[in-house]
Amino acid sequence: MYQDDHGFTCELDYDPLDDAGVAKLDEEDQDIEFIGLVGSQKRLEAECGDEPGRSSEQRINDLLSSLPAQKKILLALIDFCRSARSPQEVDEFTQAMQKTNRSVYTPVMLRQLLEEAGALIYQQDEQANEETVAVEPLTQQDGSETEYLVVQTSAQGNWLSTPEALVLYDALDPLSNLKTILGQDNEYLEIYRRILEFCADEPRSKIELNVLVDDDPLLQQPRRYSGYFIDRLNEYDALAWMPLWKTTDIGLKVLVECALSEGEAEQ
Amino acid sequence: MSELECANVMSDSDVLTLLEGRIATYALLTRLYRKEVDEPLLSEMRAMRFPVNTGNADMDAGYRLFHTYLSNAWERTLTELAIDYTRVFLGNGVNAYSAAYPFESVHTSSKRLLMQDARDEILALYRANDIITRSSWKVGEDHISLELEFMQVIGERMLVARQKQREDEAARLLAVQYGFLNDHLANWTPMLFAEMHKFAKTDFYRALAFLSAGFIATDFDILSEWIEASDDEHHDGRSVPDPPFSGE
Repeated sequence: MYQDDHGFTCELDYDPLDDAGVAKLDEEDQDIEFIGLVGSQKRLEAECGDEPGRSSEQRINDLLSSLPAQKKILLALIDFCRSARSPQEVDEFTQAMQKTNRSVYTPVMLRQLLEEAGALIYQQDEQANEETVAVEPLTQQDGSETEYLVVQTSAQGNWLSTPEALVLYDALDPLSNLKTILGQDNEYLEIYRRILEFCADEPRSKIELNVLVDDDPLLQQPRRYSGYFIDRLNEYDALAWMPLWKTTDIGLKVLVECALSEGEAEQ
Repeated sequence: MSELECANVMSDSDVLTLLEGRIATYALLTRLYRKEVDEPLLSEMRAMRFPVNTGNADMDAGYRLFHTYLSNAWERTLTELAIDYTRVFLGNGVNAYSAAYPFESVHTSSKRLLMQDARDEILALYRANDIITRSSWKVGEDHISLELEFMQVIGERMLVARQKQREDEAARLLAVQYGFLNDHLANWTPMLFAEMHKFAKTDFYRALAFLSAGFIATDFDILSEWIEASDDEHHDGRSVPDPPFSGE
């Protein structure tokens, strides 16, 4: 018999199917399947970052793919925290990046996501690692000799990228990825080149890029617009919004390689 | 000497200081119950000094917990506090026992329902004292935050009356505050504070429960002493030790 806080009682071993003669199932039985889980098992497993089956690398990759709009900032944070950085330094760095990539994610939220995925760790003094530090009261006395507790500033920790995150970051090859994607879009190479060259001189607006390529015969059938190319170049780090579209270093490298290969072909 | 012991042997300026202190504490509690802690409030609280010995064990425990928690604040403190505020006061369950619901009606009605008799009485009291809620306030007027703010507002009026030597008005406002504490705040909040201890996961909201319980109990004792002193003087014409106000 069980009695809850409010006085309700119930038979813990009550089985409504007893009278119908239906035997109870043995929960230890291997063939038993459980139902009634609230939410998807897969999602719940994905949310439990520490289960042994998933490595840090998998969790970091999952994070990056689940937040494509934040991917660049997250990767930049991993690179930035190669050496220990104070929360203020990471805040400033993140806010500088978010100037051209506005987001509802605050710097603290992004750090939390990276920490949960195993990409960043917060290092504190050993003494400060306890969840709550027992603070020795610092008392002050005013003129009437009343004693007061004064809030102290706790020792600040630093953010540091984990080795797993750095391995993952260093293995990235954005130039090669870009070349691969350009190779797949072979028939539009001229459009890609024109956009990268146009934005290499100075930052350009979307309208300018529309004017540049939208009327090109190549894009009439099937119909494509400048947005298609901007998205792909941006996704593969060849174009960046700052706050107009500007060719990145990776985009410039591709242009140089294109020019070289064209030169070789002509010779 | 505790605040209560001090109250009977006070000079005029001490009384005014005590009134200002009461108003400030009611204002702080009002804010803490109204919504989650934000950056300015956290900074303000980290700059506060907390008295070591107030004469009330609950208040001392509350201040000590606040001190420890705030001394350990870090970049996720605001998030932790926002989560705990939601857990403590809003809850995520479907029954009436899933959080420390901060409404008097919940704690004074048999089925723990909102908007019951207590709310109607509170609303009438506000109106009788020319106080109405802002149009942005969308929940019951018997929320602890509003009840604390009511005490703050009446306390401010009492301070002004006292400063302007309007003793009758000060005495009337003293009676209003005493009545409100006796009939409402001091009556139902002990149940709320007990539930806050049950649901809170951070020391911050445990500290708030301790501080609120201690402060309301202390304030009730102070007002009781003052009311008693007022009554004695009124009825016997006897001189009593420094009553702050005396109604004529």
